[in-house]
Amino acid sequence: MDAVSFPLPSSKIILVVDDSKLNRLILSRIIKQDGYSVVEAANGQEALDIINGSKYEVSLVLLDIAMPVMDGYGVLQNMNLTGALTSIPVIVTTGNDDDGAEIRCLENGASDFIRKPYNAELVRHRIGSMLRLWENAALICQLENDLLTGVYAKEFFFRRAESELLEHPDAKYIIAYTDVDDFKMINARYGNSVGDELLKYLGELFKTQAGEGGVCGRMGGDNFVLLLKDYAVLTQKEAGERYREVFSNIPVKGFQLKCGVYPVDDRSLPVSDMCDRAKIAMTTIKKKYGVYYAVYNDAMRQKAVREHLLADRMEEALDNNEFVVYLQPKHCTESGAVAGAEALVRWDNPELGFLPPSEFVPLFERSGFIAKLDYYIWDRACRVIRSWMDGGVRPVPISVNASRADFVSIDLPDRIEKLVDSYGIPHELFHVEVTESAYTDNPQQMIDAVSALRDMGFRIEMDDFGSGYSSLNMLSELPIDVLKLDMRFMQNGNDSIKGGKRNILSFVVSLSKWLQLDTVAEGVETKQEYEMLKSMGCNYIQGYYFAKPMPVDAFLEYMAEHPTPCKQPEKHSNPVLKTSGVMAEEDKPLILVAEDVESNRAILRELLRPYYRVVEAVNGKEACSCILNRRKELACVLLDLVMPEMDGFQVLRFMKTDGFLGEIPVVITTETGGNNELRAIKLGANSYIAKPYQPELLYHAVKKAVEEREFHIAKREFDKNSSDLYEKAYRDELTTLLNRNGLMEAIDYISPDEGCALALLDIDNLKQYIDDKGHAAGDRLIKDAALSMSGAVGRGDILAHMGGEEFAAVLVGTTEPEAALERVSAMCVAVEKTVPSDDVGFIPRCIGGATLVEKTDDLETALERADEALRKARKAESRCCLWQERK
Amino acid sequence: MDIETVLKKLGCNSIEATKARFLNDRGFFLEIVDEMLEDPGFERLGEQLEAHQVKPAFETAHMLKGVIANCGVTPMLDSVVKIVEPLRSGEPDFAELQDIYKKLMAERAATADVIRTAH
Repeated sequence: MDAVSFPLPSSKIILVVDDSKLNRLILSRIIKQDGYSVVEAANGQEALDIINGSKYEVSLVLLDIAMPVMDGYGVLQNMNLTGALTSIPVIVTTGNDDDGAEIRCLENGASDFIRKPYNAELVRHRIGSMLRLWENAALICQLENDLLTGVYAKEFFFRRAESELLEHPDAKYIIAYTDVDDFKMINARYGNSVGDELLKYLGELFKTQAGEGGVCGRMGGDNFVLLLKDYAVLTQKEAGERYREVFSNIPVKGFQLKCGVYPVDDRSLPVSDMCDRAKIAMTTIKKKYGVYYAVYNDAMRQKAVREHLLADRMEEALDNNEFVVYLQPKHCTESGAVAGAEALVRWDNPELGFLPPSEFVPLFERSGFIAKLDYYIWDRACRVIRSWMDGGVRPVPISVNASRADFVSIDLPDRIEKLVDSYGIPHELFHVEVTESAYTDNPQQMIDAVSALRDMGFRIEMDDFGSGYSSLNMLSELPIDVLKLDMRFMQNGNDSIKGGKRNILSFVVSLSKWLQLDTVAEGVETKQEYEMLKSMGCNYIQGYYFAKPMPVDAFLEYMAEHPTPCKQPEKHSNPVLKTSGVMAEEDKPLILVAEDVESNRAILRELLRPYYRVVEAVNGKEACSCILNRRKELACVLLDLVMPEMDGFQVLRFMKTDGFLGEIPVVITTETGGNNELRAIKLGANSYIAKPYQPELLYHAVKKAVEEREFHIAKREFDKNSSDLYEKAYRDELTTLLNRNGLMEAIDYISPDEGCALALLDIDNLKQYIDDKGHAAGDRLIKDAALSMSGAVGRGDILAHMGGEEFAAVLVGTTEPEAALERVSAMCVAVEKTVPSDDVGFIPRCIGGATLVEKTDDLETALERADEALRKARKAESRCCLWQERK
Repeated sequence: MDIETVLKKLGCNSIEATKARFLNDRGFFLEIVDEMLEDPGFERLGEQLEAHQVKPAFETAHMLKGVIANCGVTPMLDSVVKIVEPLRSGEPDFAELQDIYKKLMAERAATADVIRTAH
């Protein structure tokens, strides 16, 4: 095909990413024929710097996969994270033998791929087609109507809104910008077609809302924008009511719509800027449960401007060493000695002032700059430790943070090792704090990186455990040494830790002990919290109770004031081998050795005996009999495949059929060669070791199998305990309604802006009924009453059984006295109709006391008021009373 | 010597595609092949094979494979493929790989001779 077949735009910039200079040269020459400009990057990190930087406006990326520093997958993941993939197409270049890589790249968001060796025509074709496709997509966006929802597309919305504003110079307008929280989750959970249906529904709804004189448009994705005429700005309460009214019939549940509003007070602004302002307002309430509405104000704009300013300064700040390390001590809970420190960052800028991390870290996380800052802090932390060592100070370990963005780079462990080694620091003094969020992004990549770091001797701490996606599977997969619990996640506002949350905390500390992990509680502020954690056996404490983060020099002095040496935890705990020296014989795990050759049994016996109890079987039949008899005790079976009477495969089949395989792990012992190992693994064996035995491999395989079994047992118990715990903590057994604790927990989920009424209801003559009919009948009546009340409250209301004959109801959205009285009376009537038919003659009398709940009220105060109103109702012999402030 | 003649002498079995890749530009082709032949990856691969380092050797061989394939030097490509695949499987016979490596280096020397003459 001739070159003229490629009439392509000439001003575009193509980024060629390949670690081989020759490949870059060849591609560049091919591409330049069509008049494109080319920039080159030799690895993924260089590519990202170009893509995220402002020097080049890249139109397309040609991306190699296998590269040092950061590979192609890392680039795709990062582009996904920063949103660059939505504006820049990526064509991956792969070997001609790697279908798997191509599929993985396409799954990660690549648009297309080309293979090596390059076919020049194909390369030019693919680039040309891809750019045309993306240009067409951009053109489609500019069409008048959004194809999916039928509302105006972005550009046309701007034009229509502008004309509307010009035509009605005196009318009052607002611009509303909406966003569906976690729209991606809806697509992921229900499929794209449901997501599309939701968007169509919203498009229709908003068109109706815009009405005459209003304009509705879609900005892309799940964002709609409305110009609304003669609309007043709502209060939060009004917005809450309106939200319920408008969205009560929405077909998809489990999402929240956020709305930012800009009252059009400056008509000189372009409509696009007005929309930006409404969007700024919307951004302030994203991910805030129960808050739907925010009105733009100048402070929001200033915040956005400030964020821009920080983003502009961040690179320069790094070069000028404006980021400063502060150290917050970690104390041994038992001795109070300083056991280590966490390195935290502050930004000291001559113009911006002294900034806490909360002001810039979230911003850096969004832009990906956090990876550079993290490395800088790691370097500083190493310098500090080195200076202690040089100055004759006994160094304590410093923990540094590794963000999600750091795990995108495949050579993270090597980079850390190289850095720490360059300062000649023992690895155990450098602790790496990782977060759950990095695990959810890409579990395998994180497992690989963390395992490598741990193998290198670094200690791994799981930061903020319990704040996000805390899963026991994660704990079983990630080889960590320390769990860090943040006390702030355990508290309700200013309340102290109590009830179920205290139990959860205690359980997590116990779980850590069982898993032989250390626990660090951070954010500890009071003596009460410290004492509680100490009683639970938490190992280390970090928080204002002991000390705030402080400059490095101050920390040195602080260490001198707390000199008691704290025993450092042993590195890489080994549950079996570590404790075997002191382990009583009966506490050792029991291993069955099934092997027909006496000499082999003798070797295994001798090798295992220091750490395990051993029972032996000389053939498959004996093995099966032992498994049957000692099912609960057996921690692992070492199974020879070739044995008389019944071979190893038959034993495996027996175990599988009788359900033992999930319970007792099996390690196969076999001669190498053939495909016996594979067959056995397919039959359900956990692993295998070859003959002749290598002690290290034997220990490793058995230890792993035993740990796996113990973990599964613990997991089952944990799952059971935690669900029992929740049930006991929050539910009333008799009625299955929430109990008092449950009510307190549930009320946290009501937005403070949403008004509500709280009522206490009492079956007044229950005692008389119990005296006549007995307790069982009384219980039945309470159950029936609970059912009747459940039918009388609305969806979204909360109903709880407080004990005895008393119930509580939170009526969400009931903010008027008359409405509250009416609803509570209706509940009382419903209860009075619950008398079983054989109880003719007895009529239960149900009375209620209610109070309206103000934004500033806490639950205890509201309950006291409702109780006062209930007493009043009883005294006045009326069905329901409302609490009123005494004059 | 035009580019086609050079490619024939090098034993290239995809002459048209290779010519197109180098835009039929003899100078460009010779420049790139020169660079390819001087790639330090060849020596590195030898050391890695000697040290039985499976993963690093695979990465180096894989990189060389891409470059050699682009240059269209089929005999060298055939040899490097025979090194890449066993390394990819994770359980290579290093003695056999050393032999193929020797062959690869001999082909590299022969390619260098052809290119020298072509200059």
